[in-house]
Amino acid sequence: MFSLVAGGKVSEIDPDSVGVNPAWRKAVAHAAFGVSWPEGTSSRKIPEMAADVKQVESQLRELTPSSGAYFNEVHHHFFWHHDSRPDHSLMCRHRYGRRTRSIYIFGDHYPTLKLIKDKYDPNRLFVVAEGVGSEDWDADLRCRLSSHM
Amino acid sequence: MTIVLSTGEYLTVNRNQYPDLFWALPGGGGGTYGILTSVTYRTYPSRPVAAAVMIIKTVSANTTQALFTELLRMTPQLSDAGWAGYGRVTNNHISFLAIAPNISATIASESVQPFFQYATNMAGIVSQQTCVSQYPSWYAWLTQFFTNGTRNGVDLIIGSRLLTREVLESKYQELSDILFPLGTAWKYAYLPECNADEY
Repeated sequence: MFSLVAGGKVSEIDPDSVGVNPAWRKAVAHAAFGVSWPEGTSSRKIPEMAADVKQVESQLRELTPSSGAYFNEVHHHFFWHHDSRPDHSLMCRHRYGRRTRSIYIFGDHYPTLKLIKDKYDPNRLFVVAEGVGSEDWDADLRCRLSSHM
Repeated sequence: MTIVLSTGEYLTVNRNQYPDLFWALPGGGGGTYGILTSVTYRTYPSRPVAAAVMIIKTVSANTTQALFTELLRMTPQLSDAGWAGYGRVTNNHISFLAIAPNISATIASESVQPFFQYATNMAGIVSQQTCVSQYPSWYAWLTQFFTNGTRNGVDLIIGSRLLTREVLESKYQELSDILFPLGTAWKYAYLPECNADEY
C-alpha cells in the first residue's frame, strides 16, 4: 500500500505543536508493506513471512534514517517475539536486545510523551505494544519490569 | 476533549486546561493516557473534489515495477498539485485512487497526465483504465466509491515507513527495489477491489 497521505497542509504545521511524530511534517507519502495469508496457514510459515516484513523495514530505515513510522499501520508484537526467546514455562517473558522502535514511531517527542504519560496515568493502567510507557513492561505486557517498580 | 484517567478523574482538556495532555493526545498515543470520551473538532465548508482512478494490469512484474518506480518518482509532484490517495501494487497490477480538494478540472487532469501517458507509452500493458472526474463534495465522492463497504478482518502483518520528498525524488529506484517484492502479498488490501465497471 502506497499512501499519498502527507504533504500539503500536513507539512505546514509546526512539528512541535502537537504530540504526533514530527516525521509526518517532512513526509510526502507513507508506505505500508506486508504479507497476508489464508486461514489455516501453519504457525511455522507465518513467522517466516513476518521476517520478510522485518527485513524490508530495516532496509527502509537504512534508506531513510531520519524519517519515522506510522503507529497505526505497523505491526507491533512480532518484533519482540523475534527479539526475545520465548519460554513458555515462565509467566513473564524477558526482553533481549535494546528497545529502539519508539523513536521511529514517536520521534524525538517520545521523552516528553513519556513524562506526560507518567503524570496522568500514575497507575500505568493503559498500555499497548510499543506504545508510550510500554518499555516499563515485559514483552507480552503481562509483567511490569522490576527496575521500574 | 474529555478524558477519564486511571485515577478516576474526569478532565476537560484543551489549550488552557491540562495543555500538556492536550499536546500529547493528538497522535502521541491517544489511548495510553486514558479513555477519551469526547472530541470537539473545528469544521470547514465542504469543497468540490477532483477524483483520479487508475487501474493498470500488466504482463510482467518488470513492467509493473517500472510503473511503480515512476509513480514513486512523481509522488512529490502529485502531492504538490493537491492529490492525496492510496495506491496498491502487486506483480501484475498497479492501481491508484486519489482525490484533490478544490482544484480545477484542468489542473487535476494536467497533473496526472504525465503518469497516465507514461503508462500508455509502455510495452507490456494488458489493460489500462484511467479517469479524472469532478465531484461537488468529498461526501459525493465517498458514496460513489465506497457504497459496498470494505472487507475487514484479514490476517496480515505490516510494516510502515514515512517517505520524505528527498527520498522520493532521489532514491525512487532504491525504494522501488525494496518495496516491490513484498507488494505481491498485497492480495488483500483495505480498498475495495478495483472493478472497471464501477468507474
